[in-house]
Amino acid sequence: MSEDGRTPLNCTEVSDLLSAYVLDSLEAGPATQVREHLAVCPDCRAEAAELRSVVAVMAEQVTPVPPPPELRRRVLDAVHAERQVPAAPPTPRSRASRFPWLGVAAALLLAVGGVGWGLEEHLAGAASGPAAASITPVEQLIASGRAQVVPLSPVPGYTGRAALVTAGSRGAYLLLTGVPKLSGERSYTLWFMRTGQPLSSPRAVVEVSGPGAYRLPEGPSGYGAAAVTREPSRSDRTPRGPVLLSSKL
Amino acid sequence: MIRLRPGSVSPKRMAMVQAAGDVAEDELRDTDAQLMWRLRSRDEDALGELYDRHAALAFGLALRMVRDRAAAEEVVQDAFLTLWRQAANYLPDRASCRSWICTIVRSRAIDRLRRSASKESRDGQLAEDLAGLCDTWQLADESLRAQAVHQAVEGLPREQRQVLELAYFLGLSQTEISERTGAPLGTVKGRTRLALQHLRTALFSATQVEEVEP
Repeated sequence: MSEDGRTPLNCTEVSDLLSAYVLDSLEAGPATQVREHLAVCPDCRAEAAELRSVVAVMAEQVTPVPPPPELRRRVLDAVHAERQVPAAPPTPRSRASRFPWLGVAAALLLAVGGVGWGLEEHLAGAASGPAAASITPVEQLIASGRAQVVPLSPVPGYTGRAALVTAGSRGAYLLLTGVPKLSGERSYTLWFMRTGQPLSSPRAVVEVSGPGAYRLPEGPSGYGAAAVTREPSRSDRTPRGPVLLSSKL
Repeated sequence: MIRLRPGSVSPKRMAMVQAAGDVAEDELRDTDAQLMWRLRSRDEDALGELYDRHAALAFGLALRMVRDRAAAEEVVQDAFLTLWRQAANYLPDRASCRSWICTIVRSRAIDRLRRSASKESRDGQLAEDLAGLCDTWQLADESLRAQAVHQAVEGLPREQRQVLELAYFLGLSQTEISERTGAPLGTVKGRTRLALQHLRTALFSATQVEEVEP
């Protein structure tokens, strides 16, 4: 049971709700539960992507209707006005261009005295991660300039990288890159801490199996520190594995 | 309960899709992708070309959802402005530009239909919808696709078609659909799930639906 009284959904329960979710027809409470599950479940994310592709073609039922001729001018005028706002320069199509948040994130990290993430390292982790598809919303959050990025410092010699990205009501995310995918019951576990002690409530413990962007049940505010460990088995309520990355908050 | 299992794509359907893709749609898709690429370079002419190509479908969709011409015009204007802003996030190998535009139009139309929802939360939902969109119909010819979608939706049981259309075109929540149709909420959820599964089966033939007694 989570702190707000909701029980995390399992895959079967999510499967029952997924169609309504991708149709944007689910009420806010269950939608949040589904979103939280998708953040940590690649199988259900793949299922959601398939269902979204079905929803996407629903528009084909519509009979096209020519809009009034003056609408074209209004659209282009609106865009022209928007263009007065400076835009980021275009980048050549490359793997890097698929993850524009990486450059922004790197700049942000440097700006806040971060740990000097290597872009290529990010790319390697992000592109190969099971949750790579879910990185795009996070890239948009960071690119919007309204996200707060807190890097977690690696222990000496550790090459993996992690950061907490918070964007108000749009949610909070754990970015994890440059780490190998774990098999079986092993997990990378994010712990939130108060007064130096890791908390064991479900909202303060996030288990993932590899690189990617993962939505957190709640943001890091109110906690004193965060740490990522490599745990030998899931559902442990106290850390048993080594600390890989950490930061005071 | 419904159990999905892997199946095979019908050879006939595959041949039709591939043939259509060979002669026309690939060229169209590439051109759309190129226009989206120019959009990233803040090329207003590219937006004009995309508008010329897709505005009628966008307006038709908006009109069907908000059922008011002035409101539909605002939806379309807002949608193309959103397309302009979001172009940097478009991945041509993931979804067609056409599907992207329709997804944005629907989101903006729902914005109007659900005025109580905060704009920020709707923006977040749209970002998730666009990022998660994987349009496997890119290879299909437009007319073939439209015809197949019509047939697939018409082939749904009436109750399933009703909940799907209430959710998609009117943007109703499951509870609102339950209230409008008089069906229990659990029944509405079940019909929604079955409707999309049946549509997926009919459209893509990549899975087979097997009814299994509980």
